[in-house]
Amino acid sequence: MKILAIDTATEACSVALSTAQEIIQKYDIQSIGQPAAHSRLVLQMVEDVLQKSNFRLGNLDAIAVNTGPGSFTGVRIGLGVAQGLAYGADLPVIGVCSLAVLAASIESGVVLPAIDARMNQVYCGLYEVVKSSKPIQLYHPVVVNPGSMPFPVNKSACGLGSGWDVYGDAIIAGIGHNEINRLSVRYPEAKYLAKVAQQSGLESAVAPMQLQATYVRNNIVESRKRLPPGTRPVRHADHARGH
Amino acid sequence: MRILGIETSCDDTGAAIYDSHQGLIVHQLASQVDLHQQYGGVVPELAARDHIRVLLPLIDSLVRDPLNDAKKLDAVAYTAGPGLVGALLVGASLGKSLAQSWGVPAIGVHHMEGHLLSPMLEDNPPEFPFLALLVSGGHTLLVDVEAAGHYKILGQSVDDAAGEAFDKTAKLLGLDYPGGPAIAKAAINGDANRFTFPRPMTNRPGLDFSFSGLKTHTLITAQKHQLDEQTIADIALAFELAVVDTLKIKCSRALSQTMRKRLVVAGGVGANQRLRATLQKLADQNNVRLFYPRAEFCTDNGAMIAYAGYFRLTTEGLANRRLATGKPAVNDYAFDVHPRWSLEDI
Ligand SMILES: Nc1ncnc2c1ncn2[C@@H]1O[C@H](COP(=O)(O)OP(=O)(O)O)[C@@H](O)[C@H]1O
Repeated sequence: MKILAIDTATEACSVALSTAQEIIQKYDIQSIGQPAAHSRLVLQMVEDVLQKSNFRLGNLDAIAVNTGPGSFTGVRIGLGVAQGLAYGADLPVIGVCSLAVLAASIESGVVLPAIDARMNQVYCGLYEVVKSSKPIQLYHPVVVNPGSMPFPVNKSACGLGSGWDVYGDAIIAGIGHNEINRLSVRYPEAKYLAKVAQQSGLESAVAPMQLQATYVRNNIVESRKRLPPGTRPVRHADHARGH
Repeated sequence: MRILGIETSCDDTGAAIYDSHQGLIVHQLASQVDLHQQYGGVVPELAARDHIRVLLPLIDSLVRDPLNDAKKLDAVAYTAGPGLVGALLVGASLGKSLAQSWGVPAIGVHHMEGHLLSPMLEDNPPEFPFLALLVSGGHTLLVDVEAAGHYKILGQSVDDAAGEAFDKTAKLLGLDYPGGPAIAKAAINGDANRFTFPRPMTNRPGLDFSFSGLKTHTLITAQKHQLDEQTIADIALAFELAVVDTLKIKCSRALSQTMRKRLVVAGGVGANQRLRATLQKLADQNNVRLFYPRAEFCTDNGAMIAYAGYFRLTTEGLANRRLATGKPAVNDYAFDVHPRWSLEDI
């Protein structure tokens, strides 16, 4: 399968083109908290990998995209780009969760990927990677305080992702042992996204209109801001919190 | 040329297809008013989430509409600013990528230029030069349009926008959102002799506006009276008359200052019938022609963005002019947005 993979969900911006034979990737990291700046990189990267591989969008089988969780704005840039490219070229899209993309960067084993979710929280989940099939989700993606993982983590697991850099000590304290194998992988990358998409196959592809974000954090307006019904909005209320 | 227009700057998702020979082909709007109502204002993150959820289905329904016989269009225009950054990025990323996929040009449009050019969607559109009064929920501007793409801001609000004043006043009278239509409706039964409200900043020279004092005056009046149906109608009328008269006085001043013979009124408040009638009278007295879009194109919509994009791409001298926003596009593949962006800096 020929897949174009787009990942703008975190501080890293990457695009990969993967076929049965080879994989080409473009990758760049933005200064922390500026995923909006991916708007300057991502389509240039798409053009670069297409040129390098001598493909046109129309030759591809699908477009894969990281649907989050991550930066809200970054997630939507990825979705918008994947939808626009796919709709224009009549291609289906394969959405993959950012935690599964992170998990796919190891060869095999149980893995606890954690992404910094700001506000003293991490996005995380638990996966098992078995060679050459897509990561098996042992626990679905959640947003939690780093010290309170909602699942047990055994000693042979490994940990990776930006959440470990920021909250590693708290995560360790929470899971109750320090045997975990901490890897230096920080951000999801399009080449691993492409790998998961290849493993998932076209059965998991949907029409671009059906693509949905995986925000995970859905409680974005403080409840006290809620007004009684019948009260009318004024332009531009305070900005909602969140990352 | 057939162009797709995309509007996602605030709380309306709009899309439209405009054809240079046939005019507007199809257009659609998905409003988020209900979504934000319970929070007392537009919540930017919720707005962006809703835009990305509905935009492509909206575009798809237009592209597949039987009225549109072209599956692939010749260009894509999207609102690049001013507006909410997260909301703008939805239209920009999808619009720019779709254009790249189709292999056609994409253009980032200034939202207020969209409003300003919206009367061009109607029969007998204005020619340049003209004077424009842009009155919306976020902006109140008097603009001298010397020629295509040459804008000079003559005056603007120093505080609340006109539409915002309508909305806030409606709220304190217990009327529905959006406030503009609600106040206009209540005012129909008002007695014009009961209250007279001030015309802010009209007794000194200049073309700037201020509406927050008028809002306070309304509040004090409302507090002094029992708010029965008649009193609400009387206050609504006094408020509407004060806003309309203030806008008329400034337009009159700007017309004599610029000697323009055409006046364009656009933006949400431009849908106000009393404003239109009053400006029509002013225009007739001064041998000026008045132009405005149909009511549904006064508020935010995709049609005006499609038109403004077409205008930018095809008007000689504008087509190749870079968007001078201080931050030039890094490359032809970038889709920068500009949350703050003056009409004079396009
Ligand atoms: N008939 C009317 N009379 C007065 N104000 C109106 C009328 N219809 C709509 N409005 C006002 O127009 C504003 C919305 O205009 P719009 O151009 O969509 O604003 P923006 O572009 O800033 O979002 C609201 O403030 C609304 O109250």
